[in-house]
Amino acid sequence: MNDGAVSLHALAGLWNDFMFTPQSSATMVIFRVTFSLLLLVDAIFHARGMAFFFGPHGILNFAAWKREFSPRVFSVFTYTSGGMTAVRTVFAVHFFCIFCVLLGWHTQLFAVILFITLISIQHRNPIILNSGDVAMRLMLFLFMFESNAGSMLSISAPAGPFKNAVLEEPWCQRLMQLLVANIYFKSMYWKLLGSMWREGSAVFYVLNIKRYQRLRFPDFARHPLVFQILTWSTLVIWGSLGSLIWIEEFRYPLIVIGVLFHLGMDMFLKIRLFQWVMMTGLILFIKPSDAEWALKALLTWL
Amino acid sequence: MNTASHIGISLFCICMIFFLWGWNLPDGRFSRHLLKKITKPVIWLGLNHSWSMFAPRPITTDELIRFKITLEDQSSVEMPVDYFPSPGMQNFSGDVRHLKLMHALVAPKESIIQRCYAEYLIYAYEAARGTADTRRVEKIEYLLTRSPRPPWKQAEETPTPAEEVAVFTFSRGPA
Repeated sequence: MNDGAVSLHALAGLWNDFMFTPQSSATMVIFRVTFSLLLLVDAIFHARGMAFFFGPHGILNFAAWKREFSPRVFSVFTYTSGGMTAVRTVFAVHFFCIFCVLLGWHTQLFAVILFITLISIQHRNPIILNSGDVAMRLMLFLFMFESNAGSMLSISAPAGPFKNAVLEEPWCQRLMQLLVANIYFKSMYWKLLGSMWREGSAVFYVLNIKRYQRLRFPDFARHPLVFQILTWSTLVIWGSLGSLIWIEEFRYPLIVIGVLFHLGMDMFLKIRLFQWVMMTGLILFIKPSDAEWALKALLTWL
Repeated sequence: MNTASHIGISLFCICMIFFLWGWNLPDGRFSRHLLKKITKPVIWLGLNHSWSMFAPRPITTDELIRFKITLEDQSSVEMPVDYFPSPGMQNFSGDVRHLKLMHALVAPKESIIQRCYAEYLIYAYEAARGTADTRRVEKIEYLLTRSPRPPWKQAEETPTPAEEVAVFTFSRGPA
């Protein structure tokens, strides 16, 4: 640093330090297990509506899908007859890949196949997707580049006493962290463009639209000031999770606030897995040394 | 890893960061303009995204949907669908996927899904009714009831007048 200027060499050093300084892969191990459980729950939800959502005579029949959607998106269904046998086969492969990733067996290979089956299923009926599906898809895309997530808590890991997780260059984890931070920041940004968010009324409407309501917001708290505080704190929390989470001292308090916020949202709103996808995303911000400590404690307890 | 791999990975990371940041911005931004050129491959691979949940303007109306089927003898029946919020139903069995579908069905711009869903309803209706009834389904109407929420500063929740509109009509061609 000289006269307030920063040299390219110093910038490259910062970049290399951020992306390539080896660290324990323990965080990615925890993420792998949690994320695959989430994918499993999502797959079960999808499978329950298999014929209705994806069947040849479902709500988006195969002939219409092939004509309107198939030329624009990748899906293995394009290369099939679209019948229930094809749907069941894709789901069977999808479930198999999820179990392989969950168990850490050839994690990277099956993550790639899993991405193919996930986008195939999602693209077969894009009308029913929500932000949770999209976030999961992007996380899985980046997770394909992670090569050491199966180094612990997996059937590939060596048996015996506890061994520290493999060291790795964390560029894949960094990209996934940037994705999660970007989701929070963009969400705040889009909200700030709306007058209802700025004046503080938005959460009132969000919590009171009956078709999204899981629980009714308690009567004693139904006051304009409460809704204003909730609206503005939503903006502050989302903005902080997108920016201040990069500052070490704020990271863990923000993760706790984020988790509580998502649990609260999940309690009052039926927006499926989005809250859980984002909570899983917050795992990526756990320090590798703390993740390693948690894994050691878990394995000792087990 | 050697330097060449680091340079390659760095380039990939920089492209990804630029893409993640620039994709979901309002039109008119420079990055958005650049990324529009790769829209087709991005959509093909499923990397398109939008994070404007409940924004910039959240939904402010309660909506209920019902489906009116007109048969060839001009009599009409209502097709019960329990996975959508419907008039007279306290709780519906569907979730956010069904709500996404419902939003697509009632969208002002006509879409392929409206037609496909009508065909599905006919298929489901004909499969569910008794074999004695052979009357042909001629038409399906999607009727949407909208009730705007009362203003947010209003202390008491007074019911707001609901309006019902036919948002889509599917007429079946000759047999």
